Amino acid sequence: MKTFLKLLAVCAIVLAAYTLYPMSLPQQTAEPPPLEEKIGALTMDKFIEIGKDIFDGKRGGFGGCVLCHDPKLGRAPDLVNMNSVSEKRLKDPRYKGKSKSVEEYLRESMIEPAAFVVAGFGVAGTNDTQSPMMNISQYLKPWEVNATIAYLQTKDGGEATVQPPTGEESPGGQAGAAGGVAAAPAASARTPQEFFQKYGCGACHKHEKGGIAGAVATDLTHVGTAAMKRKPGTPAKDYIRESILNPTAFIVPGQAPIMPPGYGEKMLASEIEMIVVFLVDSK
Amino acid sequence: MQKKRFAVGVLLILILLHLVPLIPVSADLALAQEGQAVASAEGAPLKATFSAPKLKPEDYPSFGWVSSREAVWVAAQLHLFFGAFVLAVPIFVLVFEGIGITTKDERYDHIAHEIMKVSMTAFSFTALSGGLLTFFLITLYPDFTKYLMRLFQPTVIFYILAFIAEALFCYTYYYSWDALRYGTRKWIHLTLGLLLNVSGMTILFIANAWTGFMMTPVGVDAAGTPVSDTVWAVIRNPLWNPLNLHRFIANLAYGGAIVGAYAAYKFLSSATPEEKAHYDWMGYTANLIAISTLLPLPFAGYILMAEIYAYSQQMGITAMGGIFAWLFIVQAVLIGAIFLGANYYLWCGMEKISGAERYTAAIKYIGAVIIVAFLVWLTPHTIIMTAMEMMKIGGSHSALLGPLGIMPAKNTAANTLILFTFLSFFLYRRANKAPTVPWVKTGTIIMTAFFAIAWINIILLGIYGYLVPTAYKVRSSVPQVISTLSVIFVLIVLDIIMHRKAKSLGPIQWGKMPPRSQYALAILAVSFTWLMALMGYIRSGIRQHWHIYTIMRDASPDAYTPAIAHAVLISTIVTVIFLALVIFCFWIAQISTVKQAPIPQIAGASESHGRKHEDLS
Repeated sequence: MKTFLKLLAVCAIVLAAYTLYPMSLPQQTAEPPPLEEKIGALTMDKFIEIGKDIFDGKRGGFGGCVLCHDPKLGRAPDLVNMNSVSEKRLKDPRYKGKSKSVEEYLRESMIEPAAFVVAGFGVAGTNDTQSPMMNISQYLKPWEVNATIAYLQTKDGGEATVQPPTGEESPGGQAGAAGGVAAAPAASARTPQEFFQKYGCGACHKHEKGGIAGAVATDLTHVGTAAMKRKPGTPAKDYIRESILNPTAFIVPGQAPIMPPGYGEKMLASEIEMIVVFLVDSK
Repeated sequence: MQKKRFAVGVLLILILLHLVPLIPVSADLALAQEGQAVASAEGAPLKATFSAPKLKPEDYPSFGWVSSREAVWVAAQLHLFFGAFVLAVPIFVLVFEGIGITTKDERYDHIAHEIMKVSMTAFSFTALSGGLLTFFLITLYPDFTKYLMRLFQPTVIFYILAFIAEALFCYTYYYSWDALRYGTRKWIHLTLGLLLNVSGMTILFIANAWTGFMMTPVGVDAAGTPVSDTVWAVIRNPLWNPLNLHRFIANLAYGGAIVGAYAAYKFLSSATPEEKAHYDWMGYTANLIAISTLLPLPFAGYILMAEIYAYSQQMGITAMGGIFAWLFIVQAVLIGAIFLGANYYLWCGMEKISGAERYTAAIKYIGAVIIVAFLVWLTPHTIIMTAMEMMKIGGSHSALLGPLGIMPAKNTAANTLILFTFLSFFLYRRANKAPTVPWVKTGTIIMTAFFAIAWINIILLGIYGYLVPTAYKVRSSVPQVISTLSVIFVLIVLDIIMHRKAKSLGPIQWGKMPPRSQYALAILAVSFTWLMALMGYIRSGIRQHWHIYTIMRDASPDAYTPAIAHAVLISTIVTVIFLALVIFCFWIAQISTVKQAPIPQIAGASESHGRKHEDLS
């Protein structure tokens, strides 16, 4: 009996260790998406906002487009300037779909991704003729697909051609697809100074040429020089871009991580590239 | 002689029949077949016109006092534990019996009989837990169960028939052990064992078809309506054979671990040297089964995961990069503990082998490599951290350790772990033998060089993975696996040839094992059980809010994906229940051998009563 109890005690200790260790890890519960939703009429801004939530994985029956279409991960093509990029792809000899417009191309890419596979992102061994992407209509309702299209069209300063739902469609039905009224995206910053003002960088950062004088976070006046040494092997341009898009990726020693995460997502791609070039030259 | 040949022929045919369903079906192939099925179905009227029901929360009955999902979860996991055990046991019992016939070593027959005896009560618990699971499914998820069973209707009948056959063969096999012990009768007994295994494997393969379909449905349209009038279209889903392969190997490893724990307990409580020797040998053999089947298990797991990715990248990412990612770190800890435990048992065992002292110095290096590989395997790339933690390590991942978190490092670590565990086993099995062939030196150099080159190749392929795009990283894992498997194959074959007519360096002193080695065996069983519960949850959980992925939505209040703490707590509860019942099985097996001695007073009373009876007459 003593042997049995000793053996039992050892097993209990091991089992307790196995149980307590995962309990000490960060806990997260994933709620399912709502079963049915009455969307009613949506403004274009709300429509685009929903599209952005879908893209970021905050809505829809899947983890979000960003799970793969994240330039840092390199799993799938980066989705920037999709209006001009889509027009080029429609003219590409490798394109084998039926779309005539950007909007149709974006919808087709989500539902029949093999219509055009970006070079280097196809299923291994298929010479980029098959796409690893799933048919997104399994996860999203037609109006949600449209919202994502609206977001992709407008996120870098373009115009949306899809109409938000008017509340008169059948549940989950197609929102109007043609002749949509363009949303009015926020005006793009044309200079670094405009950029700093638009995004309130001066509240924390200082940059002499940029006209901001915050004292809470890193002084960016000579950030171009510092960025060259910050992460060995990482070019200054990449480091600065990463610091804007994913500020927690590297915290400057001695500085608190106060830059809001996800802040970069509010910016337009063209603005980010402009400010990255400006900061790299700030030596 | 002819009878023997006939029996061997029957055995071979049945073994081949076993292996046929293991031919892999890739997701692409299955989907292509589904496409063909759709194309052919377009021209012909469909027989089945039902579709997956679209449920609302009020469609789910509830007991009220217990969550429906938890009830099904516990019952299903308990059934899987017992099912895995009782499917694995007859396989290696049959192998032992066969070895016993070939080698004429009675020990194999005794151990096979004893293991079978221990597992007999477990067969009843398998049926009980299966009944409980069916009850919960019908009561709590009636619409889902009805749809699935309607879709798989012909297989359900086969399942029931296979279950009845398994029960018949199981009892006949066990209770006829002594009646069919020698000569031709022994071959009949062996065939009964094989038929028992065929029934068991049929049950496993049918259940895997249902489970695989829930994760990677094919053969139905978006509404869940069958696109073909043959059930084969839904059986042959992309996960079916990966599940068959993975569960088949894992069951053997698991069964070995549980029998090892039984042997450990019996060893520790044995009073005589003979008993200790018997259970030491039993523990060694059980551990050998557990290790030898554990080695290819990561590869089978890799195939399973690759098929999940191939079917739905989204589901793969949910598992490896989403809410379940932390659990794979926990899995790495468990697998590391299992590998370390198994190696530790072998190293302890070398103490009883004359000649093993030649390898004592190597153990510490093997141990060091295994620990380093284990640490690499469990190093995460990016984890959820507080801002203060991020500040301390300088970012969302450590600049130094971050690179160890990606697949090239993991694959290299896993292959190294397997390679060096094999080395421990390799040294163990040759420890008390001295080869007498003239080419000993050359053979040893070849084996050492082959091992070293393979390991270097694995490491270089790992480094190559860092230099190429993501798509090519995965490809380098294939030659890594080939390197590992080729080492196992080449070294074993060469060693067997080299040790023909080998000189013995002394007997293996069975029973001379330190007690701590037996605790390692017990920990192995606990680790295997808990790991199975955890991985079972991950596999099932990555469907998230779908009963049948993308086809039938789970609309119940339990459709959410629980937090890690919730999942591990259920895993622990079901592990404790299972281990308690297994201990009961062991106790029943032990008590069946105990015979109470007559009590003198009662014997006297009986005589007096008899006399009274005589007086009255």
